[in-house]
Amino acid sequence: MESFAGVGLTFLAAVLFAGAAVVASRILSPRGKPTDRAKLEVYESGVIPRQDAHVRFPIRFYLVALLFLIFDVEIAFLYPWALRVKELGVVGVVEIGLFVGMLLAAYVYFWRRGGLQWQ
Amino acid sequence: MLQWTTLSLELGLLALALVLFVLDLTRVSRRLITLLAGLGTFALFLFSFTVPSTGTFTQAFILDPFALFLKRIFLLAALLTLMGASTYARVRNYTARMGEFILLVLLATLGAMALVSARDFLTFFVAFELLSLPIYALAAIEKGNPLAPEGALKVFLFGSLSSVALFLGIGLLYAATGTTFWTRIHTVLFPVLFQLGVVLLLVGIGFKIAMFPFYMWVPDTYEAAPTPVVAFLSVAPKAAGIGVLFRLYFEFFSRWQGDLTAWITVLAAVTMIAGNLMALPQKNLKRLLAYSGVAHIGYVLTAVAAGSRFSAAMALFYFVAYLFSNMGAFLAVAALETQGVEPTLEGSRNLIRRSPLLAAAFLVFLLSLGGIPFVLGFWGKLYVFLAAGKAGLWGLVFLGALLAVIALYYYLNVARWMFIVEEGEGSLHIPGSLLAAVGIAAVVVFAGGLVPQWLVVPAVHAVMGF
Amino acid sequence: MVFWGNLLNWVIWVPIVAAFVLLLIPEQRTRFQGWAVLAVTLVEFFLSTALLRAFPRAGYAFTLDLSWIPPLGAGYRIGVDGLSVLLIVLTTLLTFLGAVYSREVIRKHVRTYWIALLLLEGLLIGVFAARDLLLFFLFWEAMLLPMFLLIGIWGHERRLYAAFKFFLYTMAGSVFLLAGVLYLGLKAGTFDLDALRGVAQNLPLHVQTLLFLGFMIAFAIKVPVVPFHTWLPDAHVEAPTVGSVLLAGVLLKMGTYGMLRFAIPFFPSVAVRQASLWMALGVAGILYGAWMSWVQKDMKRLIAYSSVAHMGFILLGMFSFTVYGLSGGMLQMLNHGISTGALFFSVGMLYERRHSRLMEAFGGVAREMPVFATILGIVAMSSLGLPGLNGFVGEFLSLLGAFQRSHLLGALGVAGVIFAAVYLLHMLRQVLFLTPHQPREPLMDLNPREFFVFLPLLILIFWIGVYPRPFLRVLDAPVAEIQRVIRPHLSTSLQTRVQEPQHTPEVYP
Repeated sequence: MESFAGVGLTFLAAVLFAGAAVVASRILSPRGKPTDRAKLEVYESGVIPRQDAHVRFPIRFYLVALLFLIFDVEIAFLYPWALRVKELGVVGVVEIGLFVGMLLAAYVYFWRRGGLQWQ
Repeated sequence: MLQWTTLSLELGLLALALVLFVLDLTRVSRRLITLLAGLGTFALFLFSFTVPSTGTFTQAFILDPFALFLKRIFLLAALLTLMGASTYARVRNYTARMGEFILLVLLATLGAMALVSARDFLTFFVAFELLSLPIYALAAIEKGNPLAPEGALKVFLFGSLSSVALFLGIGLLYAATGTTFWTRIHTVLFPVLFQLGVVLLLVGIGFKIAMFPFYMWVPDTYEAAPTPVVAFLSVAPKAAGIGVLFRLYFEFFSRWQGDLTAWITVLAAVTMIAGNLMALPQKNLKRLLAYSGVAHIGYVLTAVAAGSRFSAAMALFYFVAYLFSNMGAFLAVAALETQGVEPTLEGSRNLIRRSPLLAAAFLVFLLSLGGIPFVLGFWGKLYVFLAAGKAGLWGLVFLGALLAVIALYYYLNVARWMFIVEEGEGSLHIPGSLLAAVGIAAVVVFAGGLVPQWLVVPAVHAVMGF
Repeated sequence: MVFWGNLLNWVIWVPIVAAFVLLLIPEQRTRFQGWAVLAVTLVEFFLSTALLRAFPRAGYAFTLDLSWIPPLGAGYRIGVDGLSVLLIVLTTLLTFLGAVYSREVIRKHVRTYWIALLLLEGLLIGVFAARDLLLFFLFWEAMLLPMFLLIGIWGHERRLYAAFKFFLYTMAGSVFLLAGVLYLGLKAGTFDLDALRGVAQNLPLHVQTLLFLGFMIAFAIKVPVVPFHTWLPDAHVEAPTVGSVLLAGVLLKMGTYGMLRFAIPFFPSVAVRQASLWMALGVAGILYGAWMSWVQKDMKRLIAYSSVAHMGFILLGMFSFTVYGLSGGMLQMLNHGISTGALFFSVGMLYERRHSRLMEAFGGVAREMPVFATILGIVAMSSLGLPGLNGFVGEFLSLLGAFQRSHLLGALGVAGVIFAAVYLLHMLRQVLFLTPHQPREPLMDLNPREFFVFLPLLILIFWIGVYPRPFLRVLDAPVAEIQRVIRPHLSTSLQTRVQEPQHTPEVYP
């Protein structure tokens, strides 16, 4: 029961913080109709927005991002394995080999299907 | 020492999937790869009879006869899907993505297989996702079809929602009990959180098995997705969901939740009613089968509500019947579609003249789904009713039998278009692989109806472990 | 070896297997198919008559007891007593005659027609041969499908409506039956009839009542007993001739058979309590059916309603639980199959000639078709119960039984006999004798094939009418069996009335 006290406190703090923000903005914000066109603009740190927020990126960026993710996850698993490589022994080597092999297969797939061609 | 043999089926399937995936990148023809996939799956199915039927791999993964039985169902579902898929892909112009198709089907199968072996919530969740994610992609694999994005998006959104519910439920359960292992729970600290977690868990599974009220995505997705995928979708995830529900029932709920019977009884009743009534006005065969599938889940939930070992066995048997009849029906629809026939009642008119064999097989499936004696589906229903009766749920039995009459109306209505409506010309030439898949299913449904004990006895043995 | 050596088993499965073999014959070879089916049904008829040689005697004959689905206690248990064997022979005879008749009448989907017919035959025999409740239920349900196809594909204009109505009505009744079957099976752990009997009789009375009603509703829909009869006129009218013949001749008997075989022996005390109710419903059927027949213009519809009336006699006789009533009811089951079957054949032949079932479309048929007119006359007389023909014996015995129980119901039943004379004679006058308003094309008299269809039926009509003793003797054992079960539950005053005479009455020398 005590071990959940921290969780409860955090939850409480979150509710208070969010609630305080809402209440504060309600109190502090100017009332009545906006007098000024600038007040109707999207808030962009004082800079006047120049174009629509919906910008279309070429899909290749997403592909590269995905590829990055693959290797990122790989690294995330490789570090802990490297730290315990002795204890895990042969089984560990085989397992990590399988893991890397699977990612490698995905990588080869990506490559063969033209994911790396920019044109 | 870890028992690797426990995982042998899963590892074999994974290896098969990966090898085929890599092969697809070489110059090997897609026909050969599809053939290899089918053979490999069949080999694994045969292999499943040689593996030791009990064992654990850590505390998170258990292999028992119950899981093994379901795994065989998944393997057969994958096999039938693959048999139907290659011709369908050629007609619908996605042969180029056949490699991915195979990989995704096999991975989904792997997910289902892992799911029914899961014994802690993390394994459960990972397997659940492994089952779900490939299905999202499979639903969208037919890029050219204008309906495909809608169907895929629906299954994706509802699927994600169910994952969220499930994950939240798991989180709450962890918070309430302090462990994710089902068998290691000693105390429940926060009963309220626990209750909420169980409800969310049911919601998550409910989406997957298309239980009332979480079945809204089913008809649209079924209509839009490639039919072999739908055939898979209509059996494997549902069987996995029900399997895991039973395991939860025996290993988890029964210890901590007391009696879920009342809840599941209501859900089963409402699911049966909703599915059968919604199926009545359908004109599209795929939508009709989608709603009828919802109704069938209602019947299986009747067995879940009974909550005994016997009823678990009967649910297993029901799924065998459902596997062959429902997949057979969907594959027959796929066969129609490969001939450019719309999968509607109108499109199937006079099928008896245009393709007598397909019509006969379709009739067998319809009878089985409707529960007419001497075909497999009848026994499924009978056994489930028997299990429910044993548990004293006579109301459900009565309701189910009454709704089965309504169901017969729409099944026979399909038969009416195929056999009695006489306009409709042009004979169809159903491609061999599809006809073989449909034929195998029809033969099993028919023969199984004559000697159901060959399937019932293994099902009864499969639940001895609980 | 046991499986293969059993004659009854052959009788059940020969037509079913033949139906599947028929699938192998190319669809275009309709002549060959016709001959093949004729041969099969003829062989089947002779096989089934061979069953008769074991009777009369008590208990079941040709029994076969194989374990089939052990975890359920459901077995493949078959066997026949006198009642089943008569109904089985009736089935095979009518199917054979139907095959003779339809060989030149059915033009579309010929092969499918034969398959449906053979399947129907086999499954019907299965219904009468099952000695296991689950097996009975299987046959009972499965039989619906070929009948559905027969009505739905080869029927008249509103065939689909009629087919669906027939199917769904019967299925709805089966729901009650299924619930009862499952309940009993679970209680007893077996579906064996003899074992179930002991279990069923020891259930609490309110459970027995519920189960009895469940069984009876399913059977009553099939019979049909009056409030449940609305599917029957449609199904009979829209079905093809042979469909009507089998529907009226055999299918309706499944209901009364079910009552005699299951509902009454399982729950005798409830059956005795409710006997007056069911007898009253029988009388209601007699009167209602007769009145409805009176006003019909369509001959098939007329005969359909007359079936309702005739089945009322059967119900009335059965639920009197007297020796007279029971044997009369059982005999009437056979009689009704013969007479009504013949009537439907006649209407079918008229329909073939002028494509109308309305009585107005005919008139003066007696002059153009003398042979046919004679036959129709005899058949109609047999149906209305003219002494000397088969119908009289059954109805007389049923009414005798009813009188022993209740004078009022008996008297009302007798009134039904008079009404039957009214509507049948009305039909005869209209069709055979009345001069048509405008001249029409003359009709051809019966060809040899058609005459052959009537021949066996006529022989039976006279045989049972003049010398019913062999038939009654076959029914002795089943009647005695029901009596044995029922007797302990009758009140003493009734017992004395029901018991005498000790042996089946010999109304005729």
